[in-house]
Amino acid sequence: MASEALREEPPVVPVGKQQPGMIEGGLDAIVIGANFDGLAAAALLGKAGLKTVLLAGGDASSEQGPREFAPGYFCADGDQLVDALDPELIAALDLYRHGLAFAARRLETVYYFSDGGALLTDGDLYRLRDAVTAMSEDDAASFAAFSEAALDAARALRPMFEGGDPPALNGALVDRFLHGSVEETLDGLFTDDHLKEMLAAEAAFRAAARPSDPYGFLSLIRRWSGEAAGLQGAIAYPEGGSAGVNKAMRRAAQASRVDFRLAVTAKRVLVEWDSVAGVETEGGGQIRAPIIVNALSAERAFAEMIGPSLIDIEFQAALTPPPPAVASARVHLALDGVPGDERTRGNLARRLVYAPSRIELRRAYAAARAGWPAGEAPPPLIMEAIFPSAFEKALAPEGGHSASALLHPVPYVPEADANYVAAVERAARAAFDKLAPGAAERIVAVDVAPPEPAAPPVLTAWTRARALAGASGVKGYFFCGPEAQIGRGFIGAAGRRVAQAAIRFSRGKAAAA
Amino acid sequence: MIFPVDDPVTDDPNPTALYAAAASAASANSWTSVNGWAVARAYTSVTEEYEAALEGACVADVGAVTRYAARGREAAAMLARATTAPVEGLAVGESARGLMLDENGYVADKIEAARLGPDLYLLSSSRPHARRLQLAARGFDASIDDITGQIAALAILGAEARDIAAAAGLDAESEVLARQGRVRGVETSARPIHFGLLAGIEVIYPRDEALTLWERLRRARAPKPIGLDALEIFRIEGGAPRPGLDFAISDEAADDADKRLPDEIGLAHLAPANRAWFNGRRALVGAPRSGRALAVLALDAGEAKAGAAVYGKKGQVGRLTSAAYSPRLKRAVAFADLSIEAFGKPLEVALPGEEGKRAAAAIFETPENRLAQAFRAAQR
Repeated sequence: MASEALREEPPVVPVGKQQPGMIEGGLDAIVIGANFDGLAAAALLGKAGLKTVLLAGGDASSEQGPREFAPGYFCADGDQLVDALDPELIAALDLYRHGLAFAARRLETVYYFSDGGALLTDGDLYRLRDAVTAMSEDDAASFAAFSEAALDAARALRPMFEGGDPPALNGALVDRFLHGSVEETLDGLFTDDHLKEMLAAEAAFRAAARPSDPYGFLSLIRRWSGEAAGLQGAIAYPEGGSAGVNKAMRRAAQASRVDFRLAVTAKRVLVEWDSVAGVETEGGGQIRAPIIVNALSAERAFAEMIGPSLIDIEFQAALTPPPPAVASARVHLALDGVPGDERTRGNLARRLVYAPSRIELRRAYAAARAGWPAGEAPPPLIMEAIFPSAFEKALAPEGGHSASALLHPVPYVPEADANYVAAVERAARAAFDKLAPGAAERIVAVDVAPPEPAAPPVLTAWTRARALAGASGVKGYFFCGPEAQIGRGFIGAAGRRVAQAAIRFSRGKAAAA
Repeated sequence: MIFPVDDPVTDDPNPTALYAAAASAASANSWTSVNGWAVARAYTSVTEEYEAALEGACVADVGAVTRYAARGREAAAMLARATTAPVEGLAVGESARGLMLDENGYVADKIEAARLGPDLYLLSSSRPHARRLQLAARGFDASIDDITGQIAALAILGAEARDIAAAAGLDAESEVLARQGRVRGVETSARPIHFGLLAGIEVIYPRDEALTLWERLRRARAPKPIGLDALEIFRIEGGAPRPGLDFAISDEAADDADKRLPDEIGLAHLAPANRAWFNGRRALVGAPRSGRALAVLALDAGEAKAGAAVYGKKGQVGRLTSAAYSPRLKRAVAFADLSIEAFGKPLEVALPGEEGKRAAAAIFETPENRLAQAFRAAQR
C-alpha cells in the first residue's frame, strides 16, 4: 500500500501542451506567433498542403473580442480601420468566405483645419479632385495631374512596399515623390494651405519622419498604394473592428487544417548546421520541421530564439533599431449621448481628421521628440477619429456613443505612466473638441492605450525588412514579424510573402529529393 | 588648455609605447604610419636587418598591431563567432590564426587569437574593428576592449629568437604555448608567433614599462632592431598577404568587385567552411568567385614596384600589389592579383624605369601556399 501511495500520478498535460522531453516530428512547417501575419502565413502554408502547426505561445491577442473600457462601452484594441489589407491575401484565402466583412466600405473623411474650416472628401480617392476643385480652383488642375501620377506611382511601388524589389520608375514627379519631403513636395505643387495641410496630415499620420525630412513624402504614396474593399486608397471599417479581421484570418487558418497549439510557447529554434530543424518548447520538448515561419519581433525571432552565436554580426546589428523618436496614442472615448450639433451627428459614420497647420505640425513634432513638459498643454496634433458605435450599436449603451481616436505625434515612452496618460487625455479632449464641438462635454470615460511607435521612414523600413528577409542565411527560416511590414495597420503582405517563399523552399527541397 | 592633447584631426601618427627606444635606434630615420602609429621603416639598412634576422634574431616594435582583450565566460564563443579561428578549442597558452569575414564571406582582416587565461583572450588584428567587435559581443556574457594604447609589444624574430628571449627571461612556455609571468616585476605575456618566414616570440606588457624590457633585452643579447621594410620581405617570402595592401578590406572596399574571399587571397585554410559556424560562413559557401587570386611571384629582376602590370601570353592578367627585393633569393619577389586563368602559365612583369621593359616571373611556392594546397587536398 505504501508503494501505491508513493507512486507518482501521471502528469496532467494541458490541451495543446507537450510533455517534457517529447519529440514530435512528421510536420512540414511550424509557425511561431498567432498575430495577423502569423495566422496569414499558417493559413497559406496549410492551404498549400503543408502539414503546419501554429504555436501561439499563450498569445491570445488575436482571440480577443471587444473590451469593455467603461461600463457599457466597448472598444477593440489595435487598429480600427483597414486601408492596406493585402488583396492577394484576401483572394488566396477567400477571406470574405471566412467572415471578413466591412461595416463601411469607403469611409468619407472630413478634414478640420486650424482656422475652423472643414472639407468633406469622398471615400474614393479618384473623386477627391471634386472636393479639391470646390475648395481651391487654382489648384484643381495641378491636383488632378498630381493625384493621377501619385496613384499610378503608388500602384507601381506596391511590390516594394510589400518588401519586394523597387520597380523602375521615370518622370520628374515620381522622382519628387521618392526623394522629397512632405513640405517641399506640396509647396512645389500647390498654393492652397488647406490642401497642403490635408495632404501633410495624411502623409505624416503615424509616421516618424517630420514633414520637412527628405524622403518623407513616400509615406503618403505608401498609404495610397494600399486598398480597402477593392478600392485603391480607400479606408474601410471592418465588422468587429480589428478582432473581426483577425477572426476571419483565424477561420481561414482553421479551414486550411492548421494545427493550433495555443498553449505551446517556442523557446528556441533548433539550427542544425545551416538549416532549421524545429523548435524547442518551453516545456522542454521538441517539435521538428524543416520550415519555420516566425511572426514575433525580430529581436525575439533571431537574437533570442536562434542566438547570437549563429547569426551574422551585421545582421544582428539590423535587429535593434534606434528607439522610436515619436509615437501615436490610441484613445477610446465614452460619450453619454449624441454630440449636440447637427454637423457632428451627420459625421458619425465618417472618418474625422484634424489637419494641423504647418506651424502646428512642426511644433507637434518638435514637442513629441523633446517630450511634453509636465503640466503644459501639448500643441495641436493630427487626430483621426471614428465612432465605432455608429457601425456597431452594441459597442455603446442605448443613447451613448463610443469614439476611437488616434493622436499623432506624441512622445514615445516604453511604459505609459500616469503623467503620460493624463497628457494624452488632455490632448485628446482638446483635439476632439475641434472635430465635434461640444462633444467633449459628453465624454464620461477615457481609455488611453500604450503608445504605438511611429512607422519608421519607408526606405528605412524597406531596407530593414529586406535585410531581415535574408534570415542571416539560415535555410528554412522565414520571418514575418512586425519589422517585415512597411507602414502600420493590417496589411498581411509580409505573412503572404514568407508563406510563398516557404512553399517554394518546400517544393525545391522535394524536387531535390 | 585650449586644444586637446590627442588631436583627432592631425595626420601625425601617435608614438607607440616603444617609440622612444625605436627612435634612438633608428639612424636611418625612415618612418611610416600604420593604423595611426609611428613605425620605423628601417633602422640602419634594410638588407642588414633582413640578414641579421635570417642568421640570428632581430627585435621589432609591433605596437601598431591592433589588440583586443576579450574577457568573460562566453569570450571564446564570441570570438569564435567574430573570427574563423578555432578559439573554442584553444587550451590556455595556445594561439590560432584566422580571418575576420563580413556577412557576405569577404575578408575583413587577418587575425590571431591567443588564450591567455581560462576566460581571457588576446585578439590581434591588422586593423581596428571596434564597432564590429562590440556588435559581435552583443548577447554574450563577454566584453571586448581595445588595449592597443595600453600596452607595449615587441617581437623577437629569427632563428635564435627563443635563445635571446630566454636569455632575457622572456621565453614562451614552449614552441606552441604562451607564458604569463613577471620579469623584474613587470607582468608579461610571451607567446610564440610566426611572421612570414620568421618564427619568434612576441612579448606584450604594460605600456608604462615599455623601456624596461627593451633595455633588458638589449643588455642580454642586443638583438638588432628590424624595421617594416625588412619585415615586408619576410612577409612576401612567407606568402602572407597584407590587408589593405594586397587585397581590399571588405569594410573599406568601395566596390564589391574589389572584395576578396579567403581562397582568393590564398588563405582558404584559415576559413574552413565545414568546421564550426563563424560570421559569414553561410555566405562563403555559395559566394560568387571573382575569378582572381593572389599569388607570390619571383621575378627575373632585382626591382619591381607595386602596381606594375603582369602579362600573360594574351595581354595583361593582373597587377603587383606589393613588392620587395629578397637578398636571400637575389631577385625581386612580389604579391600579384592575377586572373585565375594565368596560373601555371608563363608570366611577365612590367619593370620600373624603361617603358615596355618586362621581366619573366614565375609563381613562387610559399609556406602559406603549401598549407592552402594541403587544405584543398584534404577537402577533396
